[in-house]
Amino acid sequence: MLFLASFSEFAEKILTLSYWEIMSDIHGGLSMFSLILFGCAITLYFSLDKFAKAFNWFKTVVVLLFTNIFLLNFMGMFIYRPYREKTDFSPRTILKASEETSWLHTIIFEHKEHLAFAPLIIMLVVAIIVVSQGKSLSSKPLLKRVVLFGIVTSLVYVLVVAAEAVLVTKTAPLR
Amino acid sequence: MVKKESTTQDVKSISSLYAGSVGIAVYFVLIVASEVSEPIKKVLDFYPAVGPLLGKFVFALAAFFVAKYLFIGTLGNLDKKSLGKHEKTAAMWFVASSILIFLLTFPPVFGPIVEIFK
Repeated sequence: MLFLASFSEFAEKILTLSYWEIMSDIHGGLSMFSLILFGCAITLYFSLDKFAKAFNWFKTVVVLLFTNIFLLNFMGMFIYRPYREKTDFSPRTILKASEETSWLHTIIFEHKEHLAFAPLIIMLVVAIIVVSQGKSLSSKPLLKRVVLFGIVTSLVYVLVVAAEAVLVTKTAPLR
Repeated sequence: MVKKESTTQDVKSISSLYAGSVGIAVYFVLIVASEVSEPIKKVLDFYPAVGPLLGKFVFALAAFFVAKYLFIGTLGNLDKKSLGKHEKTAAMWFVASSILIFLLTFPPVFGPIVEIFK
């Protein structure tokens, strides 16, 4: 009974979320999914010589990871529209209205929006190397190290961008 | 045949590393240019709902693909030994640009650079 009451409240409330809240949740969901894929990619990287199908799985995960980051950037651009809307209630207007919070836009958000490009291009390079080298990647130590560097650097940048997004949206959420 | 295939794979990989560095460099130049020059900002702002950020992404990605195409053409004529040297150089540029972009997109760092060109 308690479960039904609680679940119906959940169903009722979740349906009242605005369109942009749902879109920004999807954006956040894609970001979380990328963390799972980063974990898989790093684990499979260190398993490349351990089992027969490791490379095929690694290649699939790297391509999925690039696709995920592309979609993440696409959704980021999509929800950027209401963020920068020239209305009194857009997050950018709210942040810039006060001296206390304007740094969240001029420093934190500016860094977040610009840094978001880095994982996209880094993972594009990593995906091209992994796909074009195929299984011979294992015999190319320098390229193999560059691939690991690319994955780890992209992971760090995604984490920084996510942390900066949290910092901004907790002060001025997108509605 | 195997050797030729290996060289083609290497050319694709090395050209991607160089092109990645070019894409990142072009992206940084566009960030600074859009702050310095109003006409450049207008060109990048082809979709006003999103603003110049979309233009920076699109042009930097276009620079990546153009650079990749040009590097494939240039590196494709090289022998294995020269490709080995390019592999090291390209990897170094890619790593350096990937690290530098973190700092160069930080407003307290790129702000003074913008001021120099204003």
